Order: sequence, then C-alpha cells, then structure tokens
Amino acid sequence: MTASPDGVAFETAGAGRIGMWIFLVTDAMGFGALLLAYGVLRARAAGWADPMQLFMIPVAAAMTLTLLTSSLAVLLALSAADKGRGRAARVWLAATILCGLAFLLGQAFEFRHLLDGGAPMGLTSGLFASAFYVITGFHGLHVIAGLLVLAGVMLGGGSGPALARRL
Amino acid sequence: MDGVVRRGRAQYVAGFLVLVALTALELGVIRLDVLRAARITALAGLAMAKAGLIVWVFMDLRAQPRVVQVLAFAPLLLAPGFTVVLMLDVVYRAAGAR
Repeated sequence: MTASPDGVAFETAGAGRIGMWIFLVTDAMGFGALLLAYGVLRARAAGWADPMQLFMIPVAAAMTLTLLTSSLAVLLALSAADKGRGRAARVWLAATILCGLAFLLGQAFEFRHLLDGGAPMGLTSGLFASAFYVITGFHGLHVIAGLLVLAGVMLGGGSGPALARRL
Repeated sequence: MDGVVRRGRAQYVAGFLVLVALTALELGVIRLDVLRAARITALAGLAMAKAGLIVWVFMDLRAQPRVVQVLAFAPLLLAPGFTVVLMLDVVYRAAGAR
C-alpha cells in the first residue's frame, strides 16, 4: 500500500501484474469475438452440422481433462517455486508441457479424423467447418505459444524465487 | 505475478477436482433426453461455472482487490445477456428478410 499526496492510501500494482491483466483481457476478447462470430453464423445459417455426429466425444473429453491437468500442473509449479523448490517447479513445468503436447496431438488426431472421415470436413466445407477450424486452430496456436514460453521459463535457470518471479 | 498472494496446493487440487466433476456433468447433460434448448442452457451454465471457477481459483482472482474482482466478473455476467440480445436481433432480421 502507498499514499497519495492528500493522504489517501491506495494499492499499487507493478508493470508485470498490470501487463498480465491487460494480456488476459485482450486474450478473452479475442476468443469472445470468435465465439460470438460462431453464434451469429449459427443463428443466420439455414442448416448446421450436428457436432454430436461429427466429433469423437470421448477424445474431446480426454483433451479437456488434459488441459485441466496442465492448468493444475502449472499452478503446482508456481506453488513449488514460491516455496523455493526450483527442482520440483521444473518437474511440474515439464508435466505441464507434456500435457500441452498431448493436447496438440489430440487436436491433430481430431483434425485428421475430420479431414479423412466418411464425410470429409475441410476448411472450406461450410460455415460450420470454417468456424470450427478457425476457433480450434486459434486455440491450438494459443497452446503452442504457451508451451514455448513455459519451455523458456523452465530452461532459463535460476533458483526457486527467481523462477517464481518469471512464472 | 508481483504482489499476488498465491493459494496453497490444496485449493488448486480442490478446484481441479470440481472442474473434472463439472466436465463429467457436461458429458452426462449431452446425453440427456430433454428439450434441446434446456440442454444448451444447462451446458452454457456449466461452461460459465467452469470459467468462473478457473478465474477465481486457478487465476487467483480471489486474492485480488475487490475492484479487480468486479472488473473481471462484470463482463462475464454481461456477456450472456449481450449474446442473447444479439441472437434475438439476428433471428428477427433474418425473419424480416424472408
């Protein structure tokens, strides 16, 4: 806490904290815009594909579980780094990266299934296909960027507290 | 992030288990033999609950100042309203064009 010239106390936030919140808000706006576009296209379309028929729900569920596990792993890495346990933090970061890679593999498998299935669905097969590939492709790029940053943090060296600051 | 009071492992693991349970619930809902609109509403509600839980527990919003909490949750609550209004507008315009 700090005080303004007229004596009113207010909380301060560093550039890292503000930058992270701005990044999160813009990231949410990007995904929000894409999902809203999907909704508008869906509402205006005369016909629409049935996702239940197209997708392998167990695979999609496994991919969701993988992402949730990666989220938990990165938080456990943070927790370990906060306590100065740099080695444990790196192990959890490695687990996070493995989960991210498993998700990307699952996405590639799903795309392959859709492209080569009984009724092939390509990027230009229709509004649903275009919207699906753009949104999930954007998400995939998002995961790749996250993996690269995490790999940089993991390989960057430093002790627990230094690692915690970078995380 | 600087200045953030991070929660312990127990809270993160508990949040993870609730998220897994909500995902399992979603899998159950998509197989329910009910009205499509009811199914979609339930799935949207579950998705909102998951998003809220992720922001609150995983992203440590719980440890942030009240003003940040309000700023983060206000759009999350407004978004479904705007979406419904936009959808109704699109449907109305499409019906008018026919």
